[in-house]
Amino acid sequence: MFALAVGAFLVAFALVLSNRRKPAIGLAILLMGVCVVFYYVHSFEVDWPW
Amino acid sequence: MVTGDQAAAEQSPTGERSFSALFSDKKKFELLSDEAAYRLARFFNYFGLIVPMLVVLAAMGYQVFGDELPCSHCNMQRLGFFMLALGPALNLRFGFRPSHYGISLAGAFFLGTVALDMMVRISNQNLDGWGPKALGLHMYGWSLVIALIGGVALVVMFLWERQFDLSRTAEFRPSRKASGLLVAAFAVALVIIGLDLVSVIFECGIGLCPDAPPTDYPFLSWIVSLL
Repeated sequence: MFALAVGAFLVAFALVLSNRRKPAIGLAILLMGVCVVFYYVHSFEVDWPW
Repeated sequence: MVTGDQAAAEQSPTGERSFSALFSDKKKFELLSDEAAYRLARFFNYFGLIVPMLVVLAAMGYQVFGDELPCSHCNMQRLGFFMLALGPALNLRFGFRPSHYGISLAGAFFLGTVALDMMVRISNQNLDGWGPKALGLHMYGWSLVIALIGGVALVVMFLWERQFDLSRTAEFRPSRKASGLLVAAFAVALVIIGLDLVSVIFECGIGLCPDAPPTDYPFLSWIVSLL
């Protein structure tokens, strides 16, 4: 799951470099949502203190 | 009678450096020439692309040489840095647009929120801090500082409307072919994100990252066994 998000950032930068603006922006907007979901999942399940 | 040329001149007055031009709708304030303003905006965007990536690279240095594996919040902060750098990458490739800066602003919000959340949780546990320090601050402290500076810098860039106008002119519209410097900057970004991908796969596998950072890479032996 988390690796997919990092891989998606790799794809987003590759899309920008290969001159594909709208797919890159679409993926960036999707990743904003994914980041928020990760934050909530980890915030509720995180086991503190380490 | 107002001619077409006069109307055009009234709509787009020539730039001047006077103080009153800052506050008058009929005057256009311009401190720099078009060329200098465009180059300065591009320099800021190169800075915005490279600096977040170098911060992640520094964290990876601590990870590799100090055996400090990133926690779940630390891995999320790296995502925030990548989002922060994506806006300048779009600007440098396609020209300056507010939507590109908006993506960076979302990254700055996310980075700051995760860093602050981590600080509050550590504080609630009455801990002095967690993880290694760099230049007197913990990593999450630096993340919050960078998110705040990045947010303020983005506000300034949003207010600098001239770059958006310049980017629409034929003279300053970016070409479809990326320059050597831009390709090099993208190569740095892609390599660092690629290294983070390897790190995340070794640490978290294909699932969510463990809350407590492990002492070694749990999925390294699993991946080696697959090869």
